[in-house]
Amino acid sequence: MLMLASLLVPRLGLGSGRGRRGHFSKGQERTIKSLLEMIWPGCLEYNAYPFLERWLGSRGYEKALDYYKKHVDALVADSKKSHKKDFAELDQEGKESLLDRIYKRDKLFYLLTRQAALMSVFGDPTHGVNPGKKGWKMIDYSPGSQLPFTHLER
Amino acid sequence: MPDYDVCIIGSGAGGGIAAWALADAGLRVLVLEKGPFYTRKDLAHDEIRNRKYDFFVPYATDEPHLVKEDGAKGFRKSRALWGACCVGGGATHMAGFFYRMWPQDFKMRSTFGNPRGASVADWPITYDDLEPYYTRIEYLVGISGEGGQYPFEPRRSKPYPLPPLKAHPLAALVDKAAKGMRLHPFSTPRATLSIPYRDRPSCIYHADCGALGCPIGAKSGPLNSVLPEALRTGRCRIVPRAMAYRLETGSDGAVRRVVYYDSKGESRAVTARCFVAACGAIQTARLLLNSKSGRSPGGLGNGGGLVGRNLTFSTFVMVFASYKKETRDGIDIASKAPFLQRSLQDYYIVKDHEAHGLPYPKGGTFNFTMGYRAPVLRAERFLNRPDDEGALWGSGLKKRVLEELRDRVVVKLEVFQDFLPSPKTYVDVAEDVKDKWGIPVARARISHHPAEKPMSEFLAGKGKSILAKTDPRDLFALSRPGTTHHLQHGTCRFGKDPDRSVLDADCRAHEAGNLYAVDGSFMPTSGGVPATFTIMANSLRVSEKIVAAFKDGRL
Repeated sequence: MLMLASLLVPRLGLGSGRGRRGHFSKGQERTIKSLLEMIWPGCLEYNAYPFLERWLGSRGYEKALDYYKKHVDALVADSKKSHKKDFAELDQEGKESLLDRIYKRDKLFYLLTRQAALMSVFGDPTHGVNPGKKGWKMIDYSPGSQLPFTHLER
Repeated sequence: MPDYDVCIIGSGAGGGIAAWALADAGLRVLVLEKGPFYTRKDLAHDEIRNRKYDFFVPYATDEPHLVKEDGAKGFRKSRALWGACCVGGGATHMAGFFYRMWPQDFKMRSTFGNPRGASVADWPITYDDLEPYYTRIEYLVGISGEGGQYPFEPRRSKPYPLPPLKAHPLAALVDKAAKGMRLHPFSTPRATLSIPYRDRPSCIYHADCGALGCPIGAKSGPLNSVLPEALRTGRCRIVPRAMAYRLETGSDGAVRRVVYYDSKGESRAVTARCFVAACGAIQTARLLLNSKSGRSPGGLGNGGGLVGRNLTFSTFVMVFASYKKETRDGIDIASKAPFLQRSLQDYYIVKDHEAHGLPYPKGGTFNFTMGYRAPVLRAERFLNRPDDEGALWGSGLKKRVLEELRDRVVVKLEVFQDFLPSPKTYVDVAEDVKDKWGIPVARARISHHPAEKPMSEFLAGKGKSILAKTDPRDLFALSRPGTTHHLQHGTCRFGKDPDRSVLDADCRAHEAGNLYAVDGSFMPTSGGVPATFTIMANSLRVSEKIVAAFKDGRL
């Protein structure tokens, strides 16, 4: 199980973030945005949605994109069936109950969404995410050289 | 007249060293590399780009492996088992832990016996045969370390050329804990320049060094060390994006030419007097098995049915400890230094193994490192832990990820344990499954020998008890034997007896006098260290044999 979680998912999950956009319908877009915001509140401000869209539009991700769309549609159908509403329109409690179901039944769907959220908050700003390096500042992370540690100080 | 003196297929640890050694000796060398030729600019650290799907490893839809591991019902198409496909090979993004194998590794069967169901074998050479080449590689590519720090260090004929890399202050806590248990920690030898060397800059202690390429060229893989020097001789040519798929032999059984697809997908052929396979253990086996002829219907060098057999990896276990960012007893735990730089080989051979319920005494190397700092990877590893029970979404998730990444530092202990060879782990070719060029793909079965599991648990337990003494906030172990897919060996064992080996002691094919292999495929056993250093040292040794064969007219 751990192998699945820690190894399979990063392999499945990471694209260049430079792929095509525009492969989700308006309805799908609304559901995905709502899901991203549920998982990491505030991540839409880090451009999580356009990142997820480009990422799943990258070459080699065709199967992942199909998988993702299928599960977005299933989530909407589930929501209409049990709550008579679109997922995006549910209250917090309703969304949580469906998210709980996703986590238990379609973990990969959850993991892909979570990864897009994390990428948008902590990824390199050159990919159009993490504006102003806000995400890095929050965790006191500085990429690049940690120069005080080199032998140059000798 | 052949196009080249030597054609090398693959440019990684084995092929890269051979390219330099042969060109330096005056031979005309062609290197065919299936991957691209990255520059330092391409290797700039960027978590999204460097972990891009096909940056180092091809898509499973383009070039799959078929893999069946312990417990799986059938084969799955996978992109596992690829090393980095680029000029310089996996050594381009290695962390570069450059330990030598121990003298006992070269004679495991005669020293420790063969556990039931395994196929452990002695090497046809000894540690003393390889020692001079280990030393020469240290000076050739630039290895940082310090000799004489612990009593069971394998004999070395010269000191390291470069001092050790600087360690995170937490190393003091690991040292104290280990020494308190009468263990012998030492500074990890690294294939990274600690000071400028041979016109190359030294390490800048980049935050995300880990498993990424080096943007300044301080990592000592072939891309930065020997390949530029090989090109400077004017006798070495490297062709990137060239996928070799068949070796063709003449009526005397010698290899005449190699056929490959170039970057445009066109089939081309090259002739040479000598061929060197260096594609990595699995791809070298695939190339030989796909090189069928009337003379070798089962594949080149495979008259004895041994090509692809005795495949080994490195077995690993891991222990993670996390600490609050603080200053404790004058130790700056919050430091951003990227390397912990501590190793132990006290359990390389477990002397009283039976008393611990261990069927076989070969253990491994403890390598204490700082956990990856790259934040996305780090957040995922934290959330994916099997014992994790925290919030899965919302402000709860956000809070604990931010706290983990902001307030804690992580130490990761990796143990490199022997992967015992057995008939249950091997690679062959799936005739009916083809890659994007239409070449049959490699198919691997992977099974850990039952003697490994108790040893893995024993080693993880020891690791845990050492780290527990450093008083971490949190501690957990992965004690099941894991497989390090990119460290691969075996498949073309070298040996004295042609009935039991594919290559002779010089790593020349018994069945084809001008074919050599210099990647990990020659290794009869995996050793308890990552094999990259040993592959480089052996490649230098074999290169000398090839040069000698040219000089006395055998090639």
